[in-house]
Amino acid sequence: MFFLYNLERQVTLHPSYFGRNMHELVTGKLLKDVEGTCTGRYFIITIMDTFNISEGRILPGSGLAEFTVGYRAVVWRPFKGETVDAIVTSVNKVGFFADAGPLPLFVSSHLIPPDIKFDPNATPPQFTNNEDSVIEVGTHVRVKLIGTRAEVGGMYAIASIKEDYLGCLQGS
Amino acid sequence: MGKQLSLGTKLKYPITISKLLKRPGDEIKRKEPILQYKFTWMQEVGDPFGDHWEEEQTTIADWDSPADGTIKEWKIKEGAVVQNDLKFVDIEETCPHSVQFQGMCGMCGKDMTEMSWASASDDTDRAKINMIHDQTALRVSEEEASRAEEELQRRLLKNRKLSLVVDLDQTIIHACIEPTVGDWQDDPNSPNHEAVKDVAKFQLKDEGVRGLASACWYYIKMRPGLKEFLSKVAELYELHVYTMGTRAYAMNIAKIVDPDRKLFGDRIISRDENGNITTKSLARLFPVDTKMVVIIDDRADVWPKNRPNLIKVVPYDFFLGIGDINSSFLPKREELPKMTPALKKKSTTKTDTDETEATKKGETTTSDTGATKAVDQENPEAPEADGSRISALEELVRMGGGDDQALRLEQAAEQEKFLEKQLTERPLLHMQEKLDQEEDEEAAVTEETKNGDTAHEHTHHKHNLLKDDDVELTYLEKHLTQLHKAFYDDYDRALVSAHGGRVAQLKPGHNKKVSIKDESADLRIVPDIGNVMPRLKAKTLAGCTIVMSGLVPLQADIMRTEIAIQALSFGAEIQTKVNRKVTHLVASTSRTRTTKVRQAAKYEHIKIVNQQWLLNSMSKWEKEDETPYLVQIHEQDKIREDGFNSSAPSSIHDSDDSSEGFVSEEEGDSIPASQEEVAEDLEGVMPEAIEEGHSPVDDIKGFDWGEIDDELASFMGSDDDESDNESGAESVASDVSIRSRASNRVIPQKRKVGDTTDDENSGDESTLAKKQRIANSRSTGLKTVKTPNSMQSESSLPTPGPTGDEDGEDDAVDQIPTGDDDDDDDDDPFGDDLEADLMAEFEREEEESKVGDGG
Repeated sequence: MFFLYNLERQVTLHPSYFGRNMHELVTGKLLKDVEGTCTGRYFIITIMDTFNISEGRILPGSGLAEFTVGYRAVVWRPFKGETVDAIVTSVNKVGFFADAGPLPLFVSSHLIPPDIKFDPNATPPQFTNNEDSVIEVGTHVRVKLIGTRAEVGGMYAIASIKEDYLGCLQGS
Repeated sequence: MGKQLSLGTKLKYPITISKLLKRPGDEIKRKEPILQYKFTWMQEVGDPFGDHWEEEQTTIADWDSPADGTIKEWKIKEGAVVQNDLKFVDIEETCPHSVQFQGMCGMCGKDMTEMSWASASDDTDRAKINMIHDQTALRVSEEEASRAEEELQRRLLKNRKLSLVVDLDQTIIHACIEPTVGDWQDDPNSPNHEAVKDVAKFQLKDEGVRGLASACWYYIKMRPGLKEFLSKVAELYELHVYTMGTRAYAMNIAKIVDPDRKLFGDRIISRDENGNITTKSLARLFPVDTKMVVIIDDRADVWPKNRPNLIKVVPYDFFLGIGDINSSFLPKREELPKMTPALKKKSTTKTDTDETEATKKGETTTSDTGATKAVDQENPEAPEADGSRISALEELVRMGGGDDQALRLEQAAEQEKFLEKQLTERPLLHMQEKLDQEEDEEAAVTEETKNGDTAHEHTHHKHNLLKDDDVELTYLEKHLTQLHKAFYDDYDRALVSAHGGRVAQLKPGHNKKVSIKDESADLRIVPDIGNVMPRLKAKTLAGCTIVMSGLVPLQADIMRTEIAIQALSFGAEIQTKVNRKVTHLVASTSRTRTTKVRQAAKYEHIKIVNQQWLLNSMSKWEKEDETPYLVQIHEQDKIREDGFNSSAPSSIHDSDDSSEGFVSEEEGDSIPASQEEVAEDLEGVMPEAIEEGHSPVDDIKGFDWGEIDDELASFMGSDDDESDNESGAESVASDVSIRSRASNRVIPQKRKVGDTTDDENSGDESTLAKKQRIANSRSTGLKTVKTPNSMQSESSLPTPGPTGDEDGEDDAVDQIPTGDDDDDDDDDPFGDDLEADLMAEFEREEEESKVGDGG
């Protein structure tokens, strides 16, 4: 689910950047540091705006200036039970992998409807029910997350398409 | 899924079960108590006055379930006393957690890394097998793996296919990053243009390799006939790629080899997913069962566990001296020095494309005066010497032990270094330059010798370094087809017999049941490639007893060397000593003067062949005709032979005698066991030798001569041994010039007339004659034929032969003291002069005494 979230961050600036456009530099650095990262619980998708850039404080010893910046960001936190759209990246006999934006997820063959079977002889290999559902690399699928786990710098999810309205997205 | 829970070892036994909190059929949750028990223990108690005593305490505790599910059956009763750990309850688990991705169960989505007081074991341990080609994060349990594999086998059986794991580098392609290749490709005038014009190339931009090698072009040469090979083989096999290159590299190669992704699909595994830096393992892809898997790889040592499934392919070495760009971190290839003849072929004759021509060439070369041979043999040295190979010392260290626990980074770094070296040093360019240079020299030599044959041989004005004449794939295709057939023949037979049995059994039963049973029976009767292939291979050299000479370092245990293991797998028997049972002596082309060769030469039935015979036989899976591979007995031995034939028949006896004294003496102090064999030798050889050129009288006198020879031997060093091989030497096409030289040397001996007439003295005389001849030949060797050989030999010639091609090299190996090859020609260089003097002296004395006798 997406959220607008107020966050705060310490940004340091090298003395060589001290000057008139310091605030822009700080904002720029913030964008560079933060956008697209995963904190372990959510992904920071984009920063809407910054406010409240504090006065810089020189860090003793290094000479860097530290600013405390408040900002508003769009974050995405995948929840268990959430339905997301994803693109298939790899298909094998145990299941298939897909990316829902920054989130890699895995759909095991146990969580695929029994009529959709793995066909290793097809090129490329695919899951198919020999009708309208063909899941191969690049297919858009709608999946339901049934488990997520965070590790340093990334999140992973287990998903299912064994429910109504899940699976291959037609005409996309 | 049924599972049994056990109490665990951490409880304070004995315990008494006081209450079962759940009944069969009840649902249980993780961390939920399902059982109450009590136990007694001693507590140490003290009072304020410092007294201590122990009191018995009874504690009641809960036992919490480590898993979710439903209880099926209790195996203990309330009130029972349990003495130690046991499985006490059957439960039906909600989820077996048999597929896990990044620490999550792929079936229920639970976090598997979570630990609690209740968990008995780490849940991540339940799914440990990594069997997916392109993923390392996904792991499955054993049951899941065998299920998947069973499915795979069923499918393969249905399609009548097998699995084939294909290595890339040097097996189906050869890659290099030498920029010279690009230059040659662009330059239509280059002698190598023809060969490299269809070389594919790609760039790996996003790979971890930094520095110089980061943006280089990879040049990929497909093995000749690859496309046809793969498309043919794909009908019989499901193909997998298993390479030690990186993933990006593997994908790029696959794109070149298989543009429509029809052959390999996604079944590509690279070193990024391999999980082991130095070895490949079928268990990575087929964790449960490898009976329907065949491997083709140019290296056998990286498959330590899967040898029965492996077809070892002759490495494809198109870009000479480059080797495998993705194996710089592997232990050095432990390969027999086989490239010598192959290179010889490659670097001298341009048009040689097929085996027969090559061997023909081999014959002409060796029977020439040696001029061409010399040139030939220089060439193979070149790539060896300045190719980007690792130094000899490093090689030894590497072979010495498994030093490769290098991490992936280290691996990448090493490869980077290797690649950079290739980029900066441009070994190919140097080799071509050298080749051109050699060519000029060669031309000069040819003119000098005025040998029509050789001149004809080398009329090609411009030599190209790279040859596109590899035929391995045709054999390989044949083997794979053959193997496939054998496998399914076996399978069909087994199927029929299984059917027969079952049909008889289940005749009244209904059909459906039978078919179900069929299915399950199917897999049990599937033959194992690991049995089928060795059986096929073993036919190849069955009945051959092979001794190797000059191919394996002496200190190495021959049975563990690559070549021996391979030969064994082809049904040959390997011996370390030459004896009567031996059928083939495989000698190195560069070292044809070892003791084993000489010993073997005594037996007529032993075929002395070069290593190419063995290699070709193993490559073709059929015993090659030995004739083209017969090793030319050394020139000196040829001389001897001529000597016997033309003028000194009696000397055969003599040489035998002397060798007897010698061999036994030598062997005696090295390995006592060998004496038996020597004795055998003599039994086998003596009669023949005598028959050849002796009157029976010799036998009577033989004893004395032996003694005398011994005496001589102690003076002369072990020189006499050289004569060993003459007695039974293979008939060799010898050059006229040699013959004439040889006879020249024999003629001056006045003894000659006496030889034929006076049997009594013959032994003596011929010994001397031999010495004399050797002495002569030494001196003549310096002034006669001017060949590159002679230049080489003068410098380090240990034996008094006229042309001791590779003797220097020979010795280097022979001298290693532990081996079974004796070092007979080693001590010579020192005693040469002395020897000559002595001989002259001896002869004079002998003659005098003779004259005295006669008078």
